[in-house]
Amino acid sequence: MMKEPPQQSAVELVGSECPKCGKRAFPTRAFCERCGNDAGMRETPLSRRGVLYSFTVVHIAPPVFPVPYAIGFVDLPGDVRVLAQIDADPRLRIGDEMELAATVGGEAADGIGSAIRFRRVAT
Amino acid sequence: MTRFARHTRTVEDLGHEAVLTALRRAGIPREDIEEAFCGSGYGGPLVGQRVLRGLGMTGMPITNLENACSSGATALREAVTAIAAGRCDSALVLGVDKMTRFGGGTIPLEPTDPDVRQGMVMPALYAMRANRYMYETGATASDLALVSVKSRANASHNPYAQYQKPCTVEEVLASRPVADPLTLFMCSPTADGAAATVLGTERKMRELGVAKPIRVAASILQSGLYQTGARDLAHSELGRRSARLAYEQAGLEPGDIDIAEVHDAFAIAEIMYYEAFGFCAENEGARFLREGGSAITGRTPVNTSGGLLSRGHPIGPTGVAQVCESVWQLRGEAGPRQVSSPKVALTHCSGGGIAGLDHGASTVHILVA
Repeated sequence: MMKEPPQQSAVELVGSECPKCGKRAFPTRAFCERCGNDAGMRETPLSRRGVLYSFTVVHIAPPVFPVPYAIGFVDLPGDVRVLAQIDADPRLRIGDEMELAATVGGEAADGIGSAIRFRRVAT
Repeated sequence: MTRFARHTRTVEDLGHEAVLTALRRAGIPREDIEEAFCGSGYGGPLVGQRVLRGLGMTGMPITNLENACSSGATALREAVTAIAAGRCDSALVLGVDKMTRFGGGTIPLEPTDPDVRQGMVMPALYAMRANRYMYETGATASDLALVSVKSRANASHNPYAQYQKPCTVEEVLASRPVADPLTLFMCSPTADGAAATVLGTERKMRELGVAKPIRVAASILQSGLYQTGARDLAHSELGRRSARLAYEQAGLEPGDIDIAEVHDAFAIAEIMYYEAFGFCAENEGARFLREGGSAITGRTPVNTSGGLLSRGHPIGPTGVAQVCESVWQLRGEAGPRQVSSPKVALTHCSGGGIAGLDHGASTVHILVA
């Protein structure tokens, strides 16, 4: 039995993994800022699940972002932190388990230029 | 310095007032200034030259520096370095910015930054610090409000401050939400202004007959560490590191600091910096505040000027304005907000929001009477 059903959409975040020191990072990059390696950085799909480190609901922002909206830092396995838009949820708390909901707009697979959205995992 | 406020005057005009005031108070003729350093976040190209040409102070080396909110303090460090290196005997440090040019709202960040493209604004970064800090320490939104209450109370005695009207915890909490849990009164306001100071060698100060020269005992600039993974938002590694280096350079300890002007761009920041600078133990910042440790009458008075929250935060001038306040305090010229005979002052600016860094830049200076 599969531990997790495959997602209907192919939405995922792609990060980098350094072949030398194993450091993962998001978004993708050609240079490992930890060990200095610049050869053969691998693209790697990142976990769709992580833990909410902190978040806020923003009420004043440039017009490009309609307010209010929530953003938060989500920590993914392998020491990768992603800043994402968070689906509104009054139950939202630091430490919540989160899952990738969507990447909206933009064509780049690394999510830059698009809004990365996470949502609270229903419990 | 000029009063920090929403001015209709130009950057050049604000700069003139600050420079002329600084020269007059230092008793130095403009011809004696050998170099000038100008910090500005958003003043545009060649701000220093644009200000100084109108005062006939051209021809000498003029260096313009941008380091976000640390721009003015970075200019100060460059002046200190130039004098210490023997390159000049006197230097002018100027900070100037006009933030009302953007109309208001959050300060403009670099649009290509990955976090900014996800909706990051400065209040959101500090709001996430606040939420994490409260989660880890049990501090409350009322504690954050107390920072603003103290700030406004101090600023009510500072004619240079943007907001001089005292306020209550209830008023702070009831003010408009900006980024939860931060309300409007917990955020530094949109300001215009300029601040300037004159630095010189000991010999130059004697030659000018300066009655109470203030010594720069430490001048530190650091940058945030780039971390793509876990990063502690509730404690300032960058602030702690900058202060440690400053204490080492000055041969002093946190207990030696009599007054401090710290970068309270948002209320949570001041609480975090009490801890980072060693004014109290880690996670004890809110208690230190509640018990009056940072009040004008407390063990380590912090932001007697009203800080960024109430004196105002026009970006470039902020670090220089902190020096102005410290010098007035150390000379006993601070009027009704005067601390009882301080001898050692610490000033601190933390600049900028870019992805992966605690902050872009951090400066700590220690001044000794």
